[in-house]
Amino acid sequence: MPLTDKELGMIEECVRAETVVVRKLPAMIQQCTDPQLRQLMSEIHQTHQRHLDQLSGQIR
Amino acid sequence: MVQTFGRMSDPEIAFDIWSNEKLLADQYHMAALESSNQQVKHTFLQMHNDVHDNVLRLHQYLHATGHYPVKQADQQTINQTRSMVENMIGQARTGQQTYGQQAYGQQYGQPMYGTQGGFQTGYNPYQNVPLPEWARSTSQIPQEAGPSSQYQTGGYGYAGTYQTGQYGAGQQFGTYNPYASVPLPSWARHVSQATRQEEMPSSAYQTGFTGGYGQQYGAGMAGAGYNPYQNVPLPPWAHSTAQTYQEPGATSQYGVSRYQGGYQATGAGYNPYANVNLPSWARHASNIGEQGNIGQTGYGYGMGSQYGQFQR
Repeated sequence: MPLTDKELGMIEECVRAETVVVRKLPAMIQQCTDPQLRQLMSEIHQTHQRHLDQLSGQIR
Repeated sequence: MVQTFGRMSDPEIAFDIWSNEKLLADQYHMAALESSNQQVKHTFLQMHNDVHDNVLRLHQYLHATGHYPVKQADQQTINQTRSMVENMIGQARTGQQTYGQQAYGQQYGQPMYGTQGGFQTGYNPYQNVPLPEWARSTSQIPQEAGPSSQYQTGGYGYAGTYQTGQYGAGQQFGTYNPYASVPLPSWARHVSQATRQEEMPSSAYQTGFTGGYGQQYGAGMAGAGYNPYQNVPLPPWAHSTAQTYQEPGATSQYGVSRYQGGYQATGAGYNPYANVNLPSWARHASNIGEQGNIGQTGYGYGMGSQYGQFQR
C-alpha cells in the first residue's frame, strides 16, 4: 500500500526530531558524571538510532 | 555568534532528554493516529512505546536521585476521588446520565415481550415540578401496581425510546437542552426514568422533556419477542394502534401520544386499570410528552413487533 502525503510528512517530521536527539545525546553523555545516568543516556541514544533506521526503512 | 552555556549538570541533562522524549511521544502518537498504512502505523506505535519506556526510566532516575519528588495523594483526596469515580461508574452502568441535558436511561417494569422502537420529541412543562418519592428511585425496578412506569426528568428536545426484551426495556436519548445551565435538584441528576409503580393507576405518566409533541418515530425494530399471551384475545382498544389520542380519564398508558405514527403488529399493551380514573395531572398527557407507546406499558400482550413510521 503506497504511503499517503500525510504519512510521508509524519515520517519526515519524526526523522527530523530523532536526528536532533541522536546528534545531541553523545555530547550530553560525555558530560554526565553519574555512571547510572550515562548508561541510561547511552541506551536512549541507541533507541533513537534504531528509530532513525526504522523510519528510513519506511520510505525505501 | 554561538553562545555556550558551559557544562550541564546531571539533572539538567536528564530533564532535557526527558522533555525531548515527551515531545517525541506526542509526535509518534499523532503520527500513528494519522496513519492509515498498517505497517507505518505499527512502526510509529512501536517507537511510541520505546519513547514511553525512556520517559519512564528517566522519571525513575530523577525520582530516585531526589530531583523530581512526587507528592503522594492524601487519604482524604483518595477517598473523594474514589467516591466520585464510583458514582460515575454507577451512572454509566445504569445507563443514566441526567444532568439536565440528556436523558439516557433504561426503563424496566412492563412485562412486554417484544421489540419496540421509537423516538419522541418534546418539551416538558413540568420540568420544575418536584418528583414524588417513588419517582426518584432509579430505573430497572419491576413495575408493580402503581402510577408511573415512565417518569422522565430529561432534557428538552429529542429523545428516543426503545423497548426491547422481556421487560420492555427502554432507552431514551436526549440531545438538546436549553436548560442545560439550570441547576437540577439532586434527584434529577441521578434519575432519568423511574419505573416504579406503587399506588396509582396510570402506568405511563411521563413528565420528561421527551415526548412533547407527541411524535413518535417508530424505529422499526423487528419484533423479536416472544409473547406467551399470544392466544389471549386482546380487547378492542388494543387493536388500534396508530394515532391514538388520550381521552380524559383514560389511562395514560397507551394512546397518550397524540400522533403516534406507527404500526404495531399485535403489540398492544394491556392495562388492568383502564377504567380507573386518573388524577388530573395524568389526564393532560398528550402535549407534555407522554410516551404513547402501545405495548410499551401495561402488562404486555404485545408481540413487540412495532414498526414505526415517521410522522409529523
